[in-house]
Amino acid sequence: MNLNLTVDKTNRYDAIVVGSGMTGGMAAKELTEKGLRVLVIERGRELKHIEDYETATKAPWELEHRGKVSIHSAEEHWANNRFGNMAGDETAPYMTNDQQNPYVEKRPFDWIRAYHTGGKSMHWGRQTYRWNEQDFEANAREGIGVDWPIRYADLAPWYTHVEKFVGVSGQAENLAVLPDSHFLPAMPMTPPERHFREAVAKKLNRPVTIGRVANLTKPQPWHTALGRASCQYRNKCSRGCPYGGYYSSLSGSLPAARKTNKLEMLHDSIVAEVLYDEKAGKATGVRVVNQHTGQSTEYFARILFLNAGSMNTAALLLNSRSNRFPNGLGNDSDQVGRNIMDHHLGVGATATIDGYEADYVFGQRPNALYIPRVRNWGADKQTSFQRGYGYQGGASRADWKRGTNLDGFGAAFKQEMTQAGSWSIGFGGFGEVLPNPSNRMYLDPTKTDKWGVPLIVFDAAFGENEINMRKDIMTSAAEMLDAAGFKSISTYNRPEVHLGLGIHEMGTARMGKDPKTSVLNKFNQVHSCKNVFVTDGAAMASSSCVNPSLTYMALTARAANYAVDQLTKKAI
Amino acid sequence: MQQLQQADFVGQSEARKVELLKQLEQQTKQEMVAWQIQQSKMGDNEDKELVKAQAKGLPFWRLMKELTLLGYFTSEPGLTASFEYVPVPGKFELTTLKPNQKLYAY
Repeated sequence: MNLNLTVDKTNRYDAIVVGSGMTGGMAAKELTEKGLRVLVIERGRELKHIEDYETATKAPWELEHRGKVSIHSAEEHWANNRFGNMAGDETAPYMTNDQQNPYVEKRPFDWIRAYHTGGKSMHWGRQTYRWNEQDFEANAREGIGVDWPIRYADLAPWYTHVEKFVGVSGQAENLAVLPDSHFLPAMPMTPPERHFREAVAKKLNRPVTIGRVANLTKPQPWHTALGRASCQYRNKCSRGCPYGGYYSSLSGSLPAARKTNKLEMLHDSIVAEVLYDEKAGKATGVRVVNQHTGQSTEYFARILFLNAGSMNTAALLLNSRSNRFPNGLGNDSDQVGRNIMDHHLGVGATATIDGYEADYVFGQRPNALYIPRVRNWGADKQTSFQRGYGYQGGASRADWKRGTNLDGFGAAFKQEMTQAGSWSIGFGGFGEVLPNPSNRMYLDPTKTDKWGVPLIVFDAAFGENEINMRKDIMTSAAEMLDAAGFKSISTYNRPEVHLGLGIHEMGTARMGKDPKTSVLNKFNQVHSCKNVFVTDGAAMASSSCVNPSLTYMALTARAANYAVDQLTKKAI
Repeated sequence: MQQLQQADFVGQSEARKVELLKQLEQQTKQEMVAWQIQQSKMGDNEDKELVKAQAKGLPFWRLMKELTLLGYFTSEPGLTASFEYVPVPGKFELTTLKPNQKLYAY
């Protein structure tokens, strides 16, 4: 009895948030600011904002492999290494060691992870877009997956709420397909990019805008109050920003939560299962395994927010078995782990640009251009695929790296490489992926990791809709580059891209109106266990084609405020 | 390498050395075409093999050229002799290149 009493006193909170990444941080901020005592549990190591960004201010010659991926790092980060330079010197210290955290690929899945404080919010591309009204209506209209239980209007005030806090630089365009956010001043386009924008508008009637990016172009008082300063245009964001120039949980939500004195954080702690009280019909807390000792400890709270990242959140639900939930918490519908979506990328076109020899830039813009979806929008109707895609890309001048593929050597060649090369331009598509219940992940029945937690098995792949869309992404990109009069146009469609590589993996505990076909209700509550909220990408019922973090954060803030309201009313 | 040894590269005149290297460069371009075809054929889930192949499959000249450029232009003496090093630009501005202006490196 005494022992239980002690446990109760030390390990009891108003809310437990599982995960400290993009949505866990936002949940912690909202819940603490509403007065709740919150425990955030992070499976990875503690990483302190600024002081632990060990590569952030290193000069090129101070990086051991000059930023390249060593063979050792590539093997250690066998999954992360599928995405560009993740396993290189700049970011390898932050990316998950895939050898120590394995997963099983029944079909290939590119799972990119960063287990540490702030998770992938430290490394995200920072592109920040609202969904449009039709994104929430398309499933119902087309009979795909399940209907969203919310509409754009439900989320609009929460978009505003999050945008102001985060700080989003961009240009208002008044487009229905890409609703404007609350913007900080936009970053400029280069002269060839302005030419491209004008040519594409005139000849193809397609809008091109500067990327909407979570970098502070003009910090507001609430940003500086958290110690955040203006973007310094170093474009080394993925190393962590010592100026807090871009938004992450580390620079934004967690410092805000800490200010309330209501936040506690636990690191190196894997949440292995949600504890469920059969009599009360509620979740009571979580069982946590310490990464170093392997020891299990239980923590208790009135409400739980699961923000472990879409795949890990689903795995946590599946691993939380009880008499009431033999197939995993909240999994009456058998939809937990299914409908994995992402954005498919690695497809587009490039071209060279004649002229603009005198034009140059000072500083590195951590941003590019955005071309909103035009397919299956308005009067456009495609026969080979549904939904659409956006493009991201831009123009730049070649530097010495061009030398690898040029003829020449010796002193003259070296001198030539110190001069500016010609301009080139490229755009890659980000395509919407349709929900498909046979695209799934589940727990391996026998294999576990070294902490005794079952391994995740991925069994998912792109479907015909995505494959057909990719062809159009290539030809349409080439068409735009041609319209701008650019030369040497070449298209690409990388064959080794799998689901996951967009690092927008989502959909494994979808929201919906009907508990028989969905896992969460319109406030992200588990239908059958109302004091558990899931507000990371797992909640998504469709994927749109725009980058998802803003929508995840808006859903999180909305759900957190609802949860506090329900607690106040003693309804949960 | 073997090829250069057989041609007694070290013992040749400077003009002949340049000629031999030019030949090697053109030959490398052909090898690269074959190498790239092989790479794109490697499909699903063989990325570990891909990494190993990248490390050891590249033709000698191509690999040395890439590493020489990287090594020199990212070294402190090479970078600062060739470019104006700007670790913290603080702003992003459209500018024009002036005659003999050094490029920026970050």
